[in-house]
Order: sequence, then C-alpha cells, then structure tokens
Amino acid sequence: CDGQSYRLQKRMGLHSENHYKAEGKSSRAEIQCRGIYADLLVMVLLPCVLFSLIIYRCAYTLCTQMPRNDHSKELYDKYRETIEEHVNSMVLPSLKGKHGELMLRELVKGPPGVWESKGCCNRSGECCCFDCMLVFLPLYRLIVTFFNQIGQERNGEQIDQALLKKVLDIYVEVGMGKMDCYEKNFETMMLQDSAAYYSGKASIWISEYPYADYILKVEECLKQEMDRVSHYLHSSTEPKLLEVYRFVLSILRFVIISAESTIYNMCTQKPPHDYSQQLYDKYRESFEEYITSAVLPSLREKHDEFMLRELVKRWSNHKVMVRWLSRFFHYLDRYFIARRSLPGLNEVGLTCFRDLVYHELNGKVRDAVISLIDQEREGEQIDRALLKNVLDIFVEIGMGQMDHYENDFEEVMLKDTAAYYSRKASNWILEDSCPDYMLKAEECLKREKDRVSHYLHFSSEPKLLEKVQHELLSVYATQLLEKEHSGCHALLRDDKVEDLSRMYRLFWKIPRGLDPVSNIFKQHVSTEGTALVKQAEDAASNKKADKKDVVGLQEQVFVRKVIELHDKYMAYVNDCFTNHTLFHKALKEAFEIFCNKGVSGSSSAELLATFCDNILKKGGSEKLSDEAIEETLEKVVKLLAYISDKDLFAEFYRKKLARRLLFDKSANDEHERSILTKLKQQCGGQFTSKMEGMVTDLTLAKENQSNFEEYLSNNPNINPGIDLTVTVLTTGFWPSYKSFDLNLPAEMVKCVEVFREFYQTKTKHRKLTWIYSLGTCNINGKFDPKTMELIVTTYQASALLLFNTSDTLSYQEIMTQLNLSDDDVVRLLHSLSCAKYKILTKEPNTKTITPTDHFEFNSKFTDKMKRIKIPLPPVDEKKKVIEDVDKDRRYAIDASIVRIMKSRKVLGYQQLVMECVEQLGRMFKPDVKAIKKRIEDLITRDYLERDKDNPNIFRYLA
Amino acid sequence: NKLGRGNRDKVQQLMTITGARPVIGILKERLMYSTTSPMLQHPYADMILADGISLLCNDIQVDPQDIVMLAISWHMKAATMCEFSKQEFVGGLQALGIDSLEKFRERIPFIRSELKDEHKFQEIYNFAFDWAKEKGQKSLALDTAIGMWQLLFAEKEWPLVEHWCQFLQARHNKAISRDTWSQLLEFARTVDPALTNYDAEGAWPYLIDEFVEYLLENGIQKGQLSDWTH
Repeated sequence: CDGQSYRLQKRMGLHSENHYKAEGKSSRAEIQCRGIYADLLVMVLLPCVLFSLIIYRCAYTLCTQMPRNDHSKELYDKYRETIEEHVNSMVLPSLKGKHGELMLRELVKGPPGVWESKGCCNRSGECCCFDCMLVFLPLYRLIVTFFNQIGQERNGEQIDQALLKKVLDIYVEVGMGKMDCYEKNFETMMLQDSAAYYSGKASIWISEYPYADYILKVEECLKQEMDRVSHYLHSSTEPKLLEVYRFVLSILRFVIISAESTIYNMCTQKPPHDYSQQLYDKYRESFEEYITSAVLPSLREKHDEFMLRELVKRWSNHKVMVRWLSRFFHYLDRYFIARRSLPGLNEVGLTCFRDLVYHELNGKVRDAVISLIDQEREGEQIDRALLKNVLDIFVEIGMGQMDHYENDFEEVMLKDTAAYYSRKASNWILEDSCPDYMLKAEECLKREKDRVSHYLHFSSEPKLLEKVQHELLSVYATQLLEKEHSGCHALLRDDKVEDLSRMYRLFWKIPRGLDPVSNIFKQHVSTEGTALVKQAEDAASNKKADKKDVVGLQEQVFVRKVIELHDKYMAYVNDCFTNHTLFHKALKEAFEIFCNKGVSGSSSAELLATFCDNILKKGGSEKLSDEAIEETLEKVVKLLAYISDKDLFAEFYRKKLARRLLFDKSANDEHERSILTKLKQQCGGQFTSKMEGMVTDLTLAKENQSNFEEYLSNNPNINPGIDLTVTVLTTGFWPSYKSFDLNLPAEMVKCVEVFREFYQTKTKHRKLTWIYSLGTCNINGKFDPKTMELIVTTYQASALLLFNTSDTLSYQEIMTQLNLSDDDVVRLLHSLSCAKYKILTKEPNTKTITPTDHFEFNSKFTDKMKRIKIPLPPVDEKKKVIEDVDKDRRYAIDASIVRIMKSRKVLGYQQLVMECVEQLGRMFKPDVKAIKKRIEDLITRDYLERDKDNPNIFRYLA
Repeated sequence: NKLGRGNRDKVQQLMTITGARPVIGILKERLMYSTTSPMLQHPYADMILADGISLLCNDIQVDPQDIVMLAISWHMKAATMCEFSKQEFVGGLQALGIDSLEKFRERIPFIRSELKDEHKFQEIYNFAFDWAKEKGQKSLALDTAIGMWQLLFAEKEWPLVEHWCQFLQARHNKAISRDTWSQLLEFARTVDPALTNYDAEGAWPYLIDEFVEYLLENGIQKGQLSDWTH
C-alpha cells in the first residue's frame, strides 16, 4: 500500500460511481459487489489495476486448493498487515501533524478508505484498523482536545457541536456494538473532568455570589449540561453526568443540608427557643430585601418593551429562587405553617413578588402591553412570545384565581380595544362602503381571535370578540345596513351573494343582530314582489282593450315571475343565510304580503289555479317537457303555502279540473295525479279528497259507459238511435252546477230515459240529476251548400233542433220552448247568430240579442271546414266561486267554534278567536269580524251564551 | 217624551185591539177578588189589554207611554207589551203590596225610583227585550227596539242613543238579537261617550263595533257629544 493506492482507489470510486449512474438499472446488490471488489483490489493488492483480475483469480485459486496448498491463512494475515501498514503510514502521520480542533476534523474526515468504507471492508479488517488507530493514536491529545472544546463551551464559547458529535460517534462505532470503548476511553475521563470543572466553579461561585444568584447559576448549568447530552453526548451518559453534577454540587448540598438541619434544629426547640416564626419572617424578608434591592431598581430604570423583557427574566428568576428557598425551609412548610394554617412558603414567595413588584408595576406593564397590542393592530411586528410571557405573569400571580388577569389587565385591555375599534369604526363607517367595511370587520375579528390564541388567555376570547363585535357591528348596525349605495338593500339588489354571506356571518354572532338583516331581506323581497304585482297590474290595464286571453297571458307571466323570484330568494336563504329560520320566516312573510294582493281583480288563489290549468290542459299556452311540468307544479304548490285563501284556490282548481276532465282537455293523467299528490302532502288529505274523487269518478264513468254500450247492444229494441255518452259523477266531489229543467228535444229525452233505465238496473237507490249545461252534442246541419257536422252544447243543440219544426222563431218562443232563463237564452242565441258562425239569422240584424228579436235558420251558411265547433262562452263563474267559498267558510267557522267550545266549555273571546284562526289557518285566514258574527249567530242559536258577569267570556251550552 | 214613531204606532195599534173587556174595573171596588168574567170563553178573558191599560193608567194617573209602565210590567212579570194576564197582574200587585188604588198611586214614585237603581235598571232593560219582542221571534224588530231604546236611554241618559238609532236605520235595518240588546247597555254603561276606553279587540257584538266605526268615520266624538242634549 503506498500513496498511489489511495489515488487509484479514488479513481476507481469515481469510475464505479459513473458506472452506477450509467447502468442505472443494475440492482443495488450488484453495485455493492462492484464496490467491494474495487476496494479489495485497491486496498489489499497492488496499485496496478490492470492485474487486479488476475490477482483476484490468484487469490481465489490460492484459497481453494487442497489443505496443503491452501493459503487462506496467509492471505488473511496479509490482509490485516496491509491495513495496519496503511494506517501506520498514511493515517497516523496525517493525524500526528495536526493539533486541537484541526486534528479532530482530520480524524472525522479520515481517509475515506478507512472510515467511510465500513461495510466494505470485512469486519476483521475494520477492527484491526481501529485497533491500530487507537494504539497508535495519541489518545491523551484527543481527549484533551475534546475537553478543551467542552470547556470552551461551558465558558460560553461557540463550538462546532456537529464535529464533537461525529468524533463521539467514532468512539461508539469503534466499539462495534459494545459501549466499552466509549465508556472506558472517553466517558470516564469526561466525567472526571466535569467533576473537576464544576467543583472548581462551585467553590468560586459560592464565595463570590449571593445565595440567590448562586442558585440561578446552578439551575443554568444544569440546563446546559442537559442540552449538551442531547446535542452531542451519547444518551447513556445523561444519568451519569447528572450524578457527577449532583456530586459536585454537594458543596451546595452540604450548605443546604446544614441549612436545613440548622433550620430543623431551630424549629424543633421548646417554645422559648422555637424560631419558627422568626424563620418564617426571615424567609419573607429575604425575598423582600432582594426584590427591593435588586429587582425593583432594575425594573424601574427600564421602560416599555425592555422593561417587559426584564420583568419576564426577573419573574422566572424569582420562581427559581422561591423553589430553592422553599426547599431549605421545607420543614417550616411541613409543620409550622401547616399547624398555624399560614400561607405556604411558595405562596409567600409569590406574594412578595406580587405585593412589591406587581402592585407597583402592573399599571405600567399593562400600558406597555396594550401599547404593543395596539402597535400590532396597526400592522407592526411585535414580540408575541414576550407578551405571552408577560401575560402569563398576570395569570400566575393570581395563583389559580384569574382576578389579577381580569381586573388589572383584561378590563383595561377590553376598554382600550373598544376605544380603538370605536375610533376605527367611526372612520370606516364614513369612508368605506358596506362590503369593504364588512371585509375589514371580518379581518379584525380574525386577527383578534389570532391574538387570543397567540398570547392572551383563552378566557379572554369571548369577551374580546364581544367588544370588537359591539364596536364594529352593533353600534353601526343600522348605519351599515342602511348605507345608501352599498347597504343591505343594495347588496340584495345587486345580488352580492358573497357580501351577503359575510353579512350573515358577522351579524349572526351579535345578539339579535340578524333581526334587522332579515327585516331588510323581507322588505326587499316584498318590494320586489309588489313591483311584480304592479307590473302585472299595469300590463293588465294596458291590455284591457285587447283580447281577454292576452290578459290571461300576462297573469301567466306574473305567476312565472313570482316562481322565479321565489327560487332566487330561496337560494339566498339556503346559501347566504345557511337556512336560518329567521330568514325562512322573513321570506314567508314577504311572500305572504304580496301573494295575497291579487292582480287586477283576480285573487292570487285564482291566478295560481289558472296557471295550473294552463299547464295541465291540452294546448295550454306553455309547451314544457314532462320534467319541467313536474318541476313547475312542485313550485306552484310551494307558492300555495303563502296564500291564505287556500279554500279559494281549491274551489277554483276544482272548477278548472272539472272542465279539464269533463271536456277531455286534460293533457296528461299522470300530471293530474302528481299535482294532487303534491297538494295532499302540503295541505292534507281533506284538501284533495274531492279532487281525487273527481279523477276517480271519471275512470268509473268510462267503465260505466262501456257497460252502457254493452247493455244497448244486448237490447237492440230500446236503442234510441243516437249515440249517448253519460258521465256519472258523485255530487259531493264536483263543483255545484245549476241544473235547469231544460226542455230537451224529444230525441234526447228518449236517450235520457234509456240511460235512466240502464242505471236503475245497476243501482236502486241513486238519483240521477242531469246537468245539461255541461253536455255537448254533435249534430248534422243540412245547409244548402253542404251538410256539416256541428259540435255544440246541449243547450245550443236544443235551440237548433227547434228549427226542425218551424222556420222562424221569436225570442220569447225560444225561451218558453226551451224553458231557460233570459241569461242563458241570450247567451246561446248570441253564440248562434252574432258570433263567428251565423247558423241562425237574426231580425233585426244587430250585434246584440233583445227579447223582441226573431230568428231564422240560415240555410245558406257554409264554411270551408266540414266539422265546426261553435263555442258557447262560459258564464263567468268567479263570483259564484267566491260566494260558494264564503258560504263554506261560514260553516267552517261555525264548526270550528263549536268544536273548540265543546272541548273547552268556557273560553275568553280573544282566545276563542285565536284558536279559531289557528284551526282554520291551514285552509284560509278567517276575518275576525266574520268570526264575531258567527259567534253571535251561535249565541242566537243557543249554542253559546255570554257569561253573566263577564261579557268577554263565552260558555258552551250543551 | 221621546217615544219613537215606530213604537208609538205599535202602542197605538195595540191599544185599538178590540174584543177585550177591561178587567181593570175590579180595582175600583176591592182588590184581591177578581170577578169571574162573563166572557170566559173569549181568548182574552182574564187579560188586561190595551183598553184596560189605558183605564188603569187613568186610575193611577200615569201616562201609558211613561217608562214607569215598563217598570210596573216588570214587577208584574208581564210576558208581552200592553198586556197583563190576571195571574201576572194579581201576582205583581201582591208582590208590590198593593191592595187599593191609593196604594198603587202612592207606590208609583217608589217604582219610578227603582229605575235609578243600576242593578234594577239592568233587569228592567233585559226584561224589556222579551216584553217588547213579537212572541215566537228570537229577535226584536228594529222599530220596536229603537222605540224602546229611546224610552230607556232617556231615563239612563246615554248621549249616543240618537246616533245609535240613526246608525241602525242607515246601516243595519234588521232585527236586533238579544245579545246585541243586552250588550248595548253594557256598552252604554262602561264605555265613555268619547270612546276613549273602547277596546276594538273586545268581544263587543259586531254591530257595536260597526257603530264605533260609524262614529269615527263621521267624526262624531267629543266636541259634538258634549253639546248633545236630549
């Protein structure tokens, strides 16, 4: 092994590294093998790499011969020799030449071949290498150097801890699993050195420093030694080092023990010589003296942040001193104090600090802290850890009670906070828009919360936030919410969803803070809704002149818009206002306000019913997909919740439903059923039972009709010769219709008779009432140009059939022959003679019907279609519906009052009205006056009486 | 005397009912033994009717339209206006301790004083409803009611009575229920004429509520009322 081997090895290393990089795929094991191989070549054999293969082969051959020729042993020895030689010639000289820290560095660095190839050399090789090193290494120099280093650190110098760590690692590694080497060669000496060092120091300190400072020094050293262990000494050293440390400090221990025993002696004497009290006093005095002489002056001369730092330091020192001193006087604590129930030593120590330092300085400290907080609020960087420590003093000084923190610091801090934010808010509210203000407020709240988590006591959080919220939000709530161009109104107007969410978050936290927000929300929604109503009114009055169905369209648009409005604000409630009940209520109330207004004479109940009709009937004004229809119906039903006159809706709906069903106008049976299900869910079974009955009736009627047809085909002799379809309905389910005794034409009378007979065969006890006003007839008109099929109502048909027997008929004749009222006659004659199709000619030829008119069959009438439908304008049913509903309401109120009184027997007027409104509220909102009238009516009918002494109380008369 | 026109007519009408023989003659001789009427079969036998009453009024020197006649009827527990059955008449006189015309006359001021008694007035007021209404009807015809109110509230001095009657004729024009009748006295007693203590939320019959609305609408309050005299 000569110098070249090292260089070669380096080159080889480089080579194998390149090789490794080039053949990235080759496995880890392979690379390891290559490394070993290369190292062996370099270390054990000649520097000539070219022969390496041959030499390896030789070695292999040498080792694999028969015993006699087996040269393994020699090879092994040679191996060791080689390494020893390398160490002797290369490593040691390089180490010998260096001193102190440099030598340590050289050692740590070492020749890579030796040091960093562990795992490359075989075990024995490594071992012998270290052996050599340790034998030949100037051990004492290493140790001395080392101790110098530690010594330097102990004296407060900066040393390279990492270096020491590495050196010590060598000691550990050289042990190859055992700690012998580390313990024997290093640790023992280190411990001795430490002992020597500390005994030297201790003896100096004890004489130089006052007692208290000595204790502080000791604490400090202990901490440093602990650090040392954790930084570079082996962890197993810790307990031993502590042992030494304790031993060394036994000087102190000795002092303590002697002090303690002295104290013990002083305290255990018979009364005249019992110095417990004096000692106790002395204990206190020593603190007081120290504080007045050392602590206070040092604090007094400092200010602001420096003063705070000093205070924190002094406080931690003080705590150490208290701990030590109370240990000396431990005996006092155990007996004297316990017996006299005096404050404990620990407490006395803290009390001293509190009385002397804290009481003098807390104002100053507090102001300094608050000014720091204010600085931070203004965006400056401050030492948060310092504040945390200072505030901990406030907490600790209370010894478990928060009084001091709360009274001496928190209260003023809160006041200051309030003042600070009140100042800020008064500026912001003038300068900033509402969203900006809210952003700032939210940021402030966040920062204050942060502040608490960083250095304030956690108990301050609610109070602090409450103050900030109060100053920023509560005080200016109205001003903020009502800012003209950016307040809550404007946010709602401009759909500022994010700002609204923020507003909700902020005001949610302050008590009753959401009330004004929800009020504004309500106001806004109801204004928007009222605007829609107004818009619809205007549109309706503008279009009055035009056709009627155009007005109807306007109303359709209105309902659509209301639905859209509802969708929009429902989304607000869900998203911005997190489904808060207050906002649900506001939305409901807002909708109730304008939903019950009605547009141009139509109540919204009617509008909704018409809207449904339009969707559900064939050829309605809106073409929608099935899903869209379902969705729209769903929404209509939701809107219904806001309408107080649900019974009115039901009545209108029933009317429209009847038309759809009877005239086969319903577009889709499933939709009919689906909306009924929805209504049932929302308003209860009672609400929809009639409507459901109607739908069922129609199914039954179809069945009935096929039975009837079968009956006719079985009895051909009674067949009237006219196709007849009868829809049998259950009276109670359907709206009430006028049933006049129309004089039917003879042909039709026969039909009716036949059906009645058929029906008798099925049921005995049912009475059929014929409602001709709902009937339709297909009749053939034999006009001169061509024969046409006319689709007319039964009324119209009856009127036309009169002309089979006479050519001209007067108004009066028609009326008497048909037995109809004036209204009906006028209506149907108008439809036949003045409308689009003039089947009859009228004399005189005017646009209106008068009782003196005469009519003649218009045989010249023709049309390009073969089949025409002659519409008969329906009677305006609105008034009747409303009357019906009114009547029903009277019964409902009566029933409700009687129900309530029956169960309560005696009840005050107010309560009766209240309960009545509550009971009926699901269907309609009864007028209080109406209830009063019903009550009086019930009194007259002897259901109720007034109490004799109190006219405000009613009694139920059974 | 402020008897309403309608009521006067009615009284007039009743007074002209014929076919009744005055039983009142008995008073002139001795009380407590009534004669067996020669007209027992007659439906009005044992009855004092309109004629009889005017005779009686003469005897006791009281105007038939004096409110005291109502009070006397109340004492008699008379079922119908302008009629006393024998039983009612005799029972009433017994209860009043009257056995001669002199005593009857002497008793009049006392009976009149009873009207001043709040409690008794209320009883008389409520009695008047049944007394005045048509038999078999549940409510009191408006004209009769107005006449009775004018009579009664002339005694009671309720300043709104004229307005009330005007209101009824203008807005209501229907019969008056017993409830409304009895509640009106309550209203007159408890609510001051300026309506300051009227509670719109109270259980007053709706007619009274509407009356108050009528008063407010027409601005008939305070000022006008203080001038109002009867």
